[in-house]
Amino acid sequence: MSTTARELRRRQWLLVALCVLATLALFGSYTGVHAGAVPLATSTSAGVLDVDTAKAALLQAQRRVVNDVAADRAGTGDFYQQISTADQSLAAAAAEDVTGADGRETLRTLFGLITTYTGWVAEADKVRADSLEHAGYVYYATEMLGGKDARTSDTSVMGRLNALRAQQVRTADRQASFGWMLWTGWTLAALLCVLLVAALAEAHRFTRARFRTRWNRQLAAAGLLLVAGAAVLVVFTWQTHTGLFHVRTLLHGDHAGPGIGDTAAEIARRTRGTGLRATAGYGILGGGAVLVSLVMWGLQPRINEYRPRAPR
Amino acid sequence: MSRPGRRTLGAAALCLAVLAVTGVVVVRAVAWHGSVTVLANWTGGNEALFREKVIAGFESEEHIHVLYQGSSAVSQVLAADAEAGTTPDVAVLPGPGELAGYAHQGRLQPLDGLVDTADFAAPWGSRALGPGDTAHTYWVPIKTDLKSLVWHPATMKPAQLADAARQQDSWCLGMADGATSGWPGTDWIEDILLQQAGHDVYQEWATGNLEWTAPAVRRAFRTWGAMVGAGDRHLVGNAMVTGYGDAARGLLPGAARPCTLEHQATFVRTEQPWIVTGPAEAHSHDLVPGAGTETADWEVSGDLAAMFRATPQARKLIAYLARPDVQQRWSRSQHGFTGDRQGAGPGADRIDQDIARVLRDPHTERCYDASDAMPSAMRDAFALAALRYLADPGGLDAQLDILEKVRDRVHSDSASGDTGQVWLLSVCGTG
Repeated sequence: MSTTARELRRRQWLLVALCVLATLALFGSYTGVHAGAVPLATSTSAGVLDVDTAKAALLQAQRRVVNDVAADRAGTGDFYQQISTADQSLAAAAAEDVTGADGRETLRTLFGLITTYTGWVAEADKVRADSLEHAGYVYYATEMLGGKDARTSDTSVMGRLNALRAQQVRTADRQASFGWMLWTGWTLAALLCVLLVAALAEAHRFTRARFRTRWNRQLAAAGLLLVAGAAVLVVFTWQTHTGLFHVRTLLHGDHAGPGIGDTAAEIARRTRGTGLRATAGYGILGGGAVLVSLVMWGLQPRINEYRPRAPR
Repeated sequence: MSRPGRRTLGAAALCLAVLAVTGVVVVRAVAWHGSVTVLANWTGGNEALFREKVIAGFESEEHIHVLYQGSSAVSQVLAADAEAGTTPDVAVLPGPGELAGYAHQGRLQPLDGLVDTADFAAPWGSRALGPGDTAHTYWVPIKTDLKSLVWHPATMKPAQLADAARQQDSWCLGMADGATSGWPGTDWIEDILLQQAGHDVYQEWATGNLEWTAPAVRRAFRTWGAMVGAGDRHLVGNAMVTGYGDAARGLLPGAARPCTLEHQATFVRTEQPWIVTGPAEAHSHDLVPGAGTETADWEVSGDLAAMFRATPQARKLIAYLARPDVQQRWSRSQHGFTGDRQGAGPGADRIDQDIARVLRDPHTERCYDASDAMPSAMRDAFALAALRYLADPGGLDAQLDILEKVRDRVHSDSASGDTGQVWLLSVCGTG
């Protein structure tokens, strides 16, 4: 085999190897960012807001209980409407299943506690507001519900809800974090892309010098595809990560009343297109295959020119 | 290059085999072997203790994860789980009545072969009827407590104690306890009935065979009302909104509502006010007006572990909980006592020794806390009736009529056999 053929083959294999490595590094890094993005955008944030909705509804129900004491009615229609809202929100939170088995157990406990809380309010509703019984039942209900900022170790309904919410927010933090593995992955991907661009440029310069052609179109196209593709991926990742950062900040805040709806709308705005961008990750593998094909297509015909012909 | 000899190949094969076996052994020893879900009513500090004293040891020995969920509304949570078909593998409840219902419905798994009831003193080692009315062991007591006790300052002389017991404002009383508020009242009433009418009548009543309108029950309610001042706006107003754990704060200097006596189980002696005051105990029999002269029985309670799903992990946990050393470790951390005859060693001080003696004495008649032994619907109605009576003693007849209707309904449900509302066959015993 001639020196030129050997040089071409060496460059071909180096380029193919770099293409494969860069593709895998980009795919791993890109999907690493988006793996948490989709569940955070679709279920985790919804689960947190479901818990916020349940908290707000229960606190509103409790305000009804306290205000209605004067009217001699502890459990009014509005009270039961708020309890129904809380139940539905917790059922939705259960469906989101953000925190796994632990969260499911906590939610089951919460359903039991809310049933008992409602039972005490119903008992209070049966007796006169100035009776000793009424004071007792309202006290038991209030103690069972707990305060809005009850500690997460508290056994009250609010304590459990705060504990569940804290657990969900920790999950959101994990899903939105750009940890050391992602930093390492992206650094490696960037390094491999730079090496691949340099190797493509060098191979292009080599073929131009040896074969006196101005352009090796396939290698030039591979270079362009790589630069453009990597730029798109960086932009997509930046958009997703910025969105996740804002969502995480929003979820750490305290929401009640109309604020919950506003937060949900803001989260929807911030995470718009996340699913589509996540799907684009599969395009990386396709792009990698195209890169390899272009490299083969660009160099293989030149290598073939040096293949010894079989004797007639 | 020469080929390796047979001896070399044999040694290499042996090394590989040893390595493989070691690997398998290490993986089996280190890997987790599944998980078991547990539901109980310990939360906060008690939950941390349970994790430290029981769960940590079990996980370390068996390499089985324990997914623990503590809830103050354990009965409600368990009932909801049972309806949804998502019961935990193991549940710990204070009431054999509730567990008997689950057993009769076929939701509990028998512990025959895992737990020997002969290891436990009466009445904890009892059996219950499963589907088809066949008797099995369905629960293992993991902590026991002695009730029928009146706690007073150790400095109080017997004459002062008797005087104080006659004063309504001497009693430290707190009825609040979240989902189960009212139980301190049922404890009072059932203990008074036991002391006044004796264990035969008590057993009749606790097993659903005595009307709530019977004179003995009415008398117990009235005695309690007279002792603690039922209907008194000041005394009852305070008791209704005081947690049972805070009732003894009246012992401390400068308390807004001073008190000196508390009718409570053994666990209360380690509450801060009693530690500060220095506790001593008296048998409630000596202080309850009209207590019978022929018998002096004791009311007891306990935490019972039962298995809803017979997974290998759940069976291992039940066997672990039944072990005398585990029972001892957990009971001591809870300032309670184990019901296991082997595990019940001498107590640390005189009070502990006195309590342990009563709990272990084979000739003493011990009766399970009646409300804990009743079907859950009856228990809940009883707790509510105690609260209502305390607030409005004039409505006693109406309350007893309501309780009697609930008893009738539970009997009907029990006959139909599918509602989980069944009466225990016995709640008292010796041995």
